[in-house]
Amino acid sequence: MHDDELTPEQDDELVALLTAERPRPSAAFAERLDARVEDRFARPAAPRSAPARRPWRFTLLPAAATVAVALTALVLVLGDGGPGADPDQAATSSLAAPEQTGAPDAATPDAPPPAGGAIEDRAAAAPEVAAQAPAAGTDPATRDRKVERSASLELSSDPERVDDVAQDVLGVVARFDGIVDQSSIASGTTGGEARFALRIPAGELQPALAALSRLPDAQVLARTDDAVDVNQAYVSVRRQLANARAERVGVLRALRAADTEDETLRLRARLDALERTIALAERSQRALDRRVDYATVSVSVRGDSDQGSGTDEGGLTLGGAFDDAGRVLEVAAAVVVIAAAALVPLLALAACAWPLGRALTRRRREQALDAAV
Amino acid sequence: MTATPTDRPAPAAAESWERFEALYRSSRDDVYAYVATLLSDAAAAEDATALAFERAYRKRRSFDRARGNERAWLFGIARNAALDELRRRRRHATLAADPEDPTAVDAAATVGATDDDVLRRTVVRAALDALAPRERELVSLKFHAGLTNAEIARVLGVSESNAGTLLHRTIAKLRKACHA
Repeated sequence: MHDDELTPEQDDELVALLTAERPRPSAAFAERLDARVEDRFARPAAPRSAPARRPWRFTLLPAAATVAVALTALVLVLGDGGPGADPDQAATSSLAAPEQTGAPDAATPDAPPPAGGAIEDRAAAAPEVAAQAPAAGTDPATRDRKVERSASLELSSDPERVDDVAQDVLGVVARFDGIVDQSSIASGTTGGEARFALRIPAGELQPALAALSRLPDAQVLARTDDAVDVNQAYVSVRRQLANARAERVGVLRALRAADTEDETLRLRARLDALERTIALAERSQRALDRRVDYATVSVSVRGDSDQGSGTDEGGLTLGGAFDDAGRVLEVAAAVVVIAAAALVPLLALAACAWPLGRALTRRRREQALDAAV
Repeated sequence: MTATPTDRPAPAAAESWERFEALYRSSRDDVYAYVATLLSDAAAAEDATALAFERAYRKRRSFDRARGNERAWLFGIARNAALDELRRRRRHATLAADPEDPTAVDAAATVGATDDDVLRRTVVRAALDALAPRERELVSLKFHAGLTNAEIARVLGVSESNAGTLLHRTIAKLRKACHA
């Protein structure tokens, strides 16, 4: 008979022997386990050796990834200035003082400084920023130099308020003892515009610009400050004037001493030429003084229908509140969309990793069984 | 003391608990026997058995009858608990197995037994020890835990016919070892 084919009696005997080899739990263990089951596993077991637990880092990993994604999304959204952010309104408030560009080294007062400095501050030139700009001509390094200053300011306003803004501009000019060289105001409900060519005392330029930037019904769209150092020209004119005056004194002295008609005629002609030169130089000097003492400021006010739609500093309106709420929701939605965009690949990765992880665990378990003695 | 309505468990929860308790009562010793065979360590087997029932209790609502009966499901959990213990034992490389006490079984089993019975049991035990771990597992599932071939197949993740074939080969190997 083949080994595999035993008699039924032998089979029964083997089965009985195998069954008899069955390990049995101790009474104490059975009692303990019964109690735990009765207690519905309310108390944690106190095992002889703690079972393999998941490392905490694997438990915290999804939470950490979620937080990182949310923070990244927030940074991206805030970094873009929000979904409604206008790129033109991205602030670059580098309000370098004009006098800095025109300020030469104090040790070489007559050295030609840079031709001029122009600082343009687009749109985000908020009134606060403008107010903080240093006052022209107050820097000791530039106080004695002759610097010609100019500025331009572009304001926007509700079309219906252009007229009011124009009046406010004129009020500021009057307050700072300025001069209105030219003005044109066109107002209307569909759009309006006002333009001013102003002269403001140079020492009052920055306060005046700050005041213009803070007009209640207007917002600053752009601001440009220019400074041109005219010290060289000023010195040149003064030297020319001094030379001409000195020569005139000499010519007058020579004229008094002249004893021939020819010499007298020649000296008179020279005296006339010197008088013209002196007059010309004095005119140039006065013109330079005017340009230095008064800064030219051009102000334009543009009626913009987007103004006054609820985000004014004025007060809280229902429409403004709706707009603000819309913006908040827009930003929140953007955060959610960006977070979702970042989470989708993570979730896809997790979806792939999950079965792989399970298969790996299963494989390791089977290997542990194979390695068992 | 009368139970208030809030003390009384919901019908579904009560049914779930009753089913679990019945499963526990009917399977406690079987699960222990299976796990102890896998681990060859009484203390570790106790831990793994307790852990298996605790896991089964926590997951009892996720049991899907369509994927097999409750015993197969429970033994699957017990198997994972035991294999996790084996893995842990490998990682820590400690002396996890209790030193074998040769008198432990004999003392109880040899009461009234003849020398011939003792000899036959010793031969069977030696034959069992000579089996590979997977073969011992099969024997344990079949003869210690009393699972059907279908349940064994479900626990091991193989087809029923494959489980039958494996079992047949293992029994044949045992017979050969016992009658060598």
